[in-house]
Amino acid sequence: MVEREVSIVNRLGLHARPAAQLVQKASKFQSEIKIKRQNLEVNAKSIMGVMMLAAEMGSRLVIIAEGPDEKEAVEALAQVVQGKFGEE
Amino acid sequence: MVESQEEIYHGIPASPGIIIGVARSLSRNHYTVAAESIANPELEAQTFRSAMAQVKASLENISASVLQRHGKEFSRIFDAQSMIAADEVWNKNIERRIREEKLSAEFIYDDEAKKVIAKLEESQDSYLKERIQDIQAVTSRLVAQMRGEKQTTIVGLEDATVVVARFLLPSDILAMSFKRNLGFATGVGGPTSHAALMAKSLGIPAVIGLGDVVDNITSGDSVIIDGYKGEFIVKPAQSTIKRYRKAKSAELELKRQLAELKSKPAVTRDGVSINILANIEIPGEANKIISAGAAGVGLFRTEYLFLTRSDFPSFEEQYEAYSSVLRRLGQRQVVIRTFDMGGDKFPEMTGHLFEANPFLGWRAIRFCLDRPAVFKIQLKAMLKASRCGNLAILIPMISNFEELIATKAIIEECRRELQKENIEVADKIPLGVMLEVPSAVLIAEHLAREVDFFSIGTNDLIQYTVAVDRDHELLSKLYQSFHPAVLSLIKTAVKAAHRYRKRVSVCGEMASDPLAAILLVGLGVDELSASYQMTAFLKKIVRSITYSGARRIAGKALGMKTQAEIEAFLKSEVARAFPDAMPVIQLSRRNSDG
Repeated sequence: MVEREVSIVNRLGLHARPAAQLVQKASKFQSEIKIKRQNLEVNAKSIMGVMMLAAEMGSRLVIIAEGPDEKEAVEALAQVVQGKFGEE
Repeated sequence: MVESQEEIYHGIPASPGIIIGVARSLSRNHYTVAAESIANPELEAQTFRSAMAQVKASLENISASVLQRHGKEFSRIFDAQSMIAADEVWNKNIERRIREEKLSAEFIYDDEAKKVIAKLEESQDSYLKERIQDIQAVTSRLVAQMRGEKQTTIVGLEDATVVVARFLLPSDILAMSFKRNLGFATGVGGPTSHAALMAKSLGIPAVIGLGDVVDNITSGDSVIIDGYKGEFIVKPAQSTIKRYRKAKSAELELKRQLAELKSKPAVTRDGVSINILANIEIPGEANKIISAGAAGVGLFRTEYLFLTRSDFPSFEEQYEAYSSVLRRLGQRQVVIRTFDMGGDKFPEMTGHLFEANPFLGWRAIRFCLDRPAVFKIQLKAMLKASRCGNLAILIPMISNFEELIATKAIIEECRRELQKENIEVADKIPLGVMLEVPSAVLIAEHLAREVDFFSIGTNDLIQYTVAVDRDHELLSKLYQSFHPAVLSLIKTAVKAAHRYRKRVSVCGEMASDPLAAILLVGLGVDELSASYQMTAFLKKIVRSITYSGARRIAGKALGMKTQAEIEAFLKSEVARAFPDAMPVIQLSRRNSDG
């Protein structure tokens, strides 16, 4: 299992478009991928799940992956978040 | 037979047109789902799966027809709902719960959706909160699908229909927009709300801001909406129906007559030409204004590029939007206004800032000058697009000279930066300022030397001059378009502009009022810009009057003391001097028959 903490740095947080980007990226991996915010843990491959995080700018998230490509998955998702989802 | 008493309600006229028809009450989100036990959970899970596939397919269908008919800016509204319907992980979990708990699919889906909604409701973020509506929309589609109800039945209705609802989402309006003889009446909404703009842009008559009355309407009630005057009449008396049938046939007859004006110029009987332009919010409207016969775009309100999104559009997206309008308009002028958010529009774009007095706050050019990074992206997108057509740039909310000079410096900076990147920019791009703050009008002489044109934003100019919030229920009588002070400011602006041989246009709601339009022409205004539905009406007005006559009327009005005096004088003088203009005035003027 691999996990990494990231902060939401884009101004508008995990609104629909970034949430969709995250889900699309997560769906490319075989591993089971979860995202945790405070006590809430959701499946990173579900748009409803990711929206449920209601993650605004400044929120801290933990990305957790388990499976054959867990390392690559965490790396790729962290990059999407830290790259501000291509905003600005 | 005893006829029940007719009721007349006054709302905000959001989109012109008359519909005499049957009410269809849309009680959004009022689906009730009880925890119902299911005998065959496997079958229920399968039914759920195929119902969800149907929901997804119908959303995709709507989105595709909307894309084809209205463009990408509109079809994007369905993106979030489509993604929700297509959430495999989520839907698998619903199926699992159906099998384990042996409860109805609607109940479980709604139960899960409520968990997400509860979390989103806790959020301070208005964009995240907007997704609640998307989740509810998908849930209500699913419930309808599971119960075998068709949600899109409105489209199939034969009769003229007025959809009555507390509020309508842009996606509701789009999904219904294919029906002919359709109108909307809603409880909430201001004239610049998304629903209002969308109805106007799609040419669907609408009256909004009706308040609680919408709750008491039952589907099947006979109703009339008058999108010119903002009236909503429930259970109209036979005599009222008759009167409206007459108004409606007068409208159709007028439109038929006016159709031939499309290719004719807007010239007064004594040979003075007045440009009739159209305001647009969405690039897709460009085609409509050409077929309406407008001479160009008098105001492209770029902040509506945010209509279906939550962040600042990128350079590429803006370039795409501006260049597509410029290309479609060819040689016709396109006046693009820089972002005018703040006040009542998109307050979230200025960063959730709390302002006790947003109309006197951090908005429009004030915001843009403080956020040069955002401003420069927009200006550069415009400058690059300048080679695609006939562009003019308009700056909103100027209240002092320094703001204009600072803006000009930024535009020059953008031009130099683009040239360094070898991006070509048109040599001469006319620059104008909006006159909507009295302080700007009173220094119009100084501003006129620095710009190519003025555009008078009458909505804000009136509001700031008489110090009345135009949406304040108790003050509506004090919001006076024909206040002598307003006329005097317009005259001051025209004088200053004409001294330096600069043009003046009016792009506020006053330009859409045919009677006011005559006054504006008389005050020396060179161009009128209103929604494309008004283009033919305004041309008819211009072609019915003489410039010298309008000047004489305006000159006399300038000397009067009150709005009441001015309005009464205008009505009687216009009826006497320009009888040809009367059919248009009678159709589209609020209280013209009162």
